[in-house]
Amino acid sequence: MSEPVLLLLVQAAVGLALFLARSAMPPGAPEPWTSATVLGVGWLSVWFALRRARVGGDPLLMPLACLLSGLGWVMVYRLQPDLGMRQALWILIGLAVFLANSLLLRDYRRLEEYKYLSLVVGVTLQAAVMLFGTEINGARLWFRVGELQFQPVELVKILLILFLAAFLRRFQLWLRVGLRSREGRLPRRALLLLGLGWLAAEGVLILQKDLGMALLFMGIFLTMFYMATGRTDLVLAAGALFVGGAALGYLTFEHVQVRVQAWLDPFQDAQNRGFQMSQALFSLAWGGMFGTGLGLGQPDRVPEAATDFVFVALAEELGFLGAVAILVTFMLLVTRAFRAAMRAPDEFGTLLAGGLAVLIAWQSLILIAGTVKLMPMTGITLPFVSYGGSSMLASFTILALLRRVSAAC
Amino acid sequence: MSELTLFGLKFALLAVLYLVLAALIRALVRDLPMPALDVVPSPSPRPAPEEPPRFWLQAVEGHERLADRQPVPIHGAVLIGRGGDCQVRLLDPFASVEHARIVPQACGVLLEDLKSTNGTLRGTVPVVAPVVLEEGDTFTIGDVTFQMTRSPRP
Repeated sequence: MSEPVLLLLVQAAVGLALFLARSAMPPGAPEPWTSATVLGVGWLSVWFALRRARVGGDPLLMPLACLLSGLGWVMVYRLQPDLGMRQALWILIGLAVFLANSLLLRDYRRLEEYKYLSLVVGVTLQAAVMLFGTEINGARLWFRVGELQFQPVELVKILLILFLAAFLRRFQLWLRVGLRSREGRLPRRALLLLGLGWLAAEGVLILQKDLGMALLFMGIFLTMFYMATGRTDLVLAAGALFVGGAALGYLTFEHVQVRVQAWLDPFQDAQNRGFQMSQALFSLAWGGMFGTGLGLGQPDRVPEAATDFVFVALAEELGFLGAVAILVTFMLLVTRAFRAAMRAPDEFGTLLAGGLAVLIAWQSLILIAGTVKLMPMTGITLPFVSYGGSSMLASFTILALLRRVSAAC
Repeated sequence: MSELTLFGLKFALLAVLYLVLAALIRALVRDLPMPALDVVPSPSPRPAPEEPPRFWLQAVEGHERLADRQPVPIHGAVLIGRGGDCQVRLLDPFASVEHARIVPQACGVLLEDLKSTNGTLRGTVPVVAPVVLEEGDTFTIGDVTFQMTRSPRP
């Protein structure tokens, strides 16, 4: 089936989900059907515009993103209708960003020239938000301009992947000296780079007290390092070092201990610190195999259900089967991203698409594992699904870059 | 709506979701084979010596377009890999830049794996140390299988 047919099929499924959610909600809630129509027409017209401009690319990326963002939107609307209206607007702006990126960025190889600029901008943004950002829920992650909040982390991630892809490509051979040809010599340069990356991750962990972000950064960094050099032993050693650093962080910071306690035994303090986790577990259990049906459960009892715990909300109302469907959709998206990486005509394209693939993979894995009590909960967003403007715009930028690389095969 | 309708629609939604996933997976499986596998002779081959080569290198398996590839004559040492300096360029993502080398010897042809990432197979056995190939022997790099032959197919 071709791209528009798949898009229409996905939209039919999302439309059915929206219909079910709406019919279970009180009649006073704002009607979603105008937004739904605008979104549907939006996706199809973006596809049409790309086709008119002869911008090719992987025909599965847009339907997959449409499915994820559509289901996420239905759930956000069902939880908080006014937030859902705003989410629809963010998806629409995201689509515009996607279209603009796809049309303007004719050759992704030109991004390679801006590697140091993207590093400087990324580090500056991150430092600025750590110093001057607005504090929400004990974490300084936001800039606030009037009504709007902006989470620079989302942009910083993409900038860092751009930098790493260009840097690793440029210095691949330089890094490999002492890695392959002369056995027994210490690969000093590679060790230096790994050390710097490790320091950066620990820095985020200690200064920002953000385990999720540190884990995400280390995961992306090590995976991209592996893609460029193919050294398993060094990657494993650096990973072990990171785990050691995280353990040190656990012993040092009370903030981290609270999170780990809430993870290991949420029912110990179920009314207070373990409240969110235990509510999430009740929610998951209540969903069962087939779910309560959209709009018929009570996922709004979980705090932050529309952002951090949107996966749990979906799992309660769509059941285990619905949750698996969402996981499979993420897997397909990552598979397609790796496919673009494998087929890219140059090393930069391979590293860029591969980096973006592991970004989606790690981010969804860390968040979903956190919400189902597989690992400590960390407050990052689920790409395309969670409510959040910065996250949505970043996700659509990633989608545009992936499509660009896949078009170059 | 009645509760029974909602109960039925709940399952209908799950069924539709999985139908959509099935359609997506079908589209995904359809274009899994790699399209850009190709054996291209180097653009600047060394000048051919007077005596005809004793061995030819023929790609026999890996991609449908490989079937009608011209066999490559082996005059001197031939470098196989993904890089631009190779006499036989292999646009396979599992091939290393300088993957393997074959050198004609008095008894046959010597095949040497140049510490490639994904290795070389002689028949079904990984090549660890250089091995001698004779008439009809095959070796595999990535998805492509080559055969050594004295009498090339036209």
